[in-house]
Amino acid sequence: VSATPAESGTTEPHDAPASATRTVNDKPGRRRNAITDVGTDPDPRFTLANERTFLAWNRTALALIAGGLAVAQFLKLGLGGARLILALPLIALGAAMSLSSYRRWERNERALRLKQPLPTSALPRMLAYAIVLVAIAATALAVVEYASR
Amino acid sequence: MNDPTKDAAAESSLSKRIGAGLANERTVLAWTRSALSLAAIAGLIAHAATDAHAYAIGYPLVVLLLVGALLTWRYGSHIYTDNRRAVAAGEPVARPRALKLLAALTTTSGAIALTITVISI
Repeated sequence: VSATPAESGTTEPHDAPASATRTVNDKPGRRRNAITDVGTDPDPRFTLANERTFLAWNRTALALIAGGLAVAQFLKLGLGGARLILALPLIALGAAMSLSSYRRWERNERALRLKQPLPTSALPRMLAYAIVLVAIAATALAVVEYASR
Repeated sequence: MNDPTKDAAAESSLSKRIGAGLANERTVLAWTRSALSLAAIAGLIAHAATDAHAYAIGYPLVVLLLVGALLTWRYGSHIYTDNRRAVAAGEPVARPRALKLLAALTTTSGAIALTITVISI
């Protein structure tokens, strides 16, 4: 299935360039954007894996937001406002994580296109620490709740 | 007789195409799961808005998130066919604008969640 640049350019309005070869990034008709102008097109499987990694981070952010909302809505504690100690940090963490997820994708994609090693990031470690903190806070709340009965 | 180098090349090209096809399928499923997560958040925000009697602000935002979830799901099905075409044509499959939009939608849902939680105190 091959389309001429004119045809595919009009029928597929999205990010992927309308026409391209693997080596010439400035071929006429190829849609330009900042990231696909760098280096050479990688194996599509790598780009798809990078996209899924972005989606997984973004979904982690969504799960943190949903978890925070669920805590705020459904957790019944003796101390009324105590659930917010859990809920607000969870939601804020989710919002901050989705802000950084696109940046990660772009850095990875740039490295793939330039055939450089993938950049490292402190984010997985930060996430682990944050989850540990939330777990400690949840345990403390549960203990206080049980003791005050 | 068959040329062994030719056979190896054909086999590697075949496994590459199968690999790209399966990677494409996993990617679409990842988009679908993201859409479901967004819809779940919309439900939770609807509950929070009802609880806080913040109908006028809350419900339009719930509709916004549900539309976002629906579009995310539809976009996933769209890229399934489009990635197949792009891979066959040797075009890149990167879609920076769509990813940026989804990240922005997620951040927005976080901001809405924070606001409605603070309102309902």
